[in-house]
Amino acid sequence: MAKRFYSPQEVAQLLDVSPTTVMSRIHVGALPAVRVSERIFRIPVPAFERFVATLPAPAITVEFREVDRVARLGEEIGAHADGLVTA
Amino acid sequence: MILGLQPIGEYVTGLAKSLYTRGFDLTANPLIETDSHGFLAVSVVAVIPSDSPQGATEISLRETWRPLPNQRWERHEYTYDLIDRPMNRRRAFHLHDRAAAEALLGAAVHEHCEETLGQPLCAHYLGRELPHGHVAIDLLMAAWTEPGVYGCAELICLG
Repeated sequence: MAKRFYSPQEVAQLLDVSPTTVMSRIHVGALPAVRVSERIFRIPVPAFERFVATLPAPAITVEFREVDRVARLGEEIGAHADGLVTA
Repeated sequence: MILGLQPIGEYVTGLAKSLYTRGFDLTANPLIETDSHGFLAVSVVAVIPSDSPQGATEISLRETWRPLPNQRWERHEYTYDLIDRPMNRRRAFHLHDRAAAEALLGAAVHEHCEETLGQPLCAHYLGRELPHGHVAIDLLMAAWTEPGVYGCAELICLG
């Protein structure tokens, strides 16, 4: 199983900066992280790679579409398994 | 959660950006469908590609919004799902039709928790209502990065 996340200490080592710097980047939202508990953070590997590559976020365009009838979520796959079909 | 159409679009864009910054790739543009009854359906689907033979990790965020007067809509159903194929497990947070769910399960909101994908110990677990999709993203990301088991057995089974 490939590694899924880094600790702030690991990221600090990879970037050759202090853990404090990493935590500050997390706290301002520049480095995405998951808050596992009050004081424990983990950085998803793909998010770190994207951060390092400094790739700009792509332009995200919401597509609007008219349909005859919006499917209620009770009709979708997960809900069928739930037995919660609510047509 | 009650919004106008433009803020809903901004909200959906925000969900997509949030997934992107966490390393997920959008499989398609976020989608808002409308129908003649005024309902909206929102869909954001993103994946983390994987070399695993089991496939990719997928997060799907789906909501339906019912129309209110004055060009406003209220989010009234949602399904937020994490299908973690490399780890062969699933976590999800659902709010379907309230009346139907309460009649069937005794609770409007439920969760899914599968330590082994497709083999739930319980079909529905008691859940808490999530105020919006950003909270769901945090919960699903926490599940995705959980190195151990989810702890499904500790949840309250609704049947």
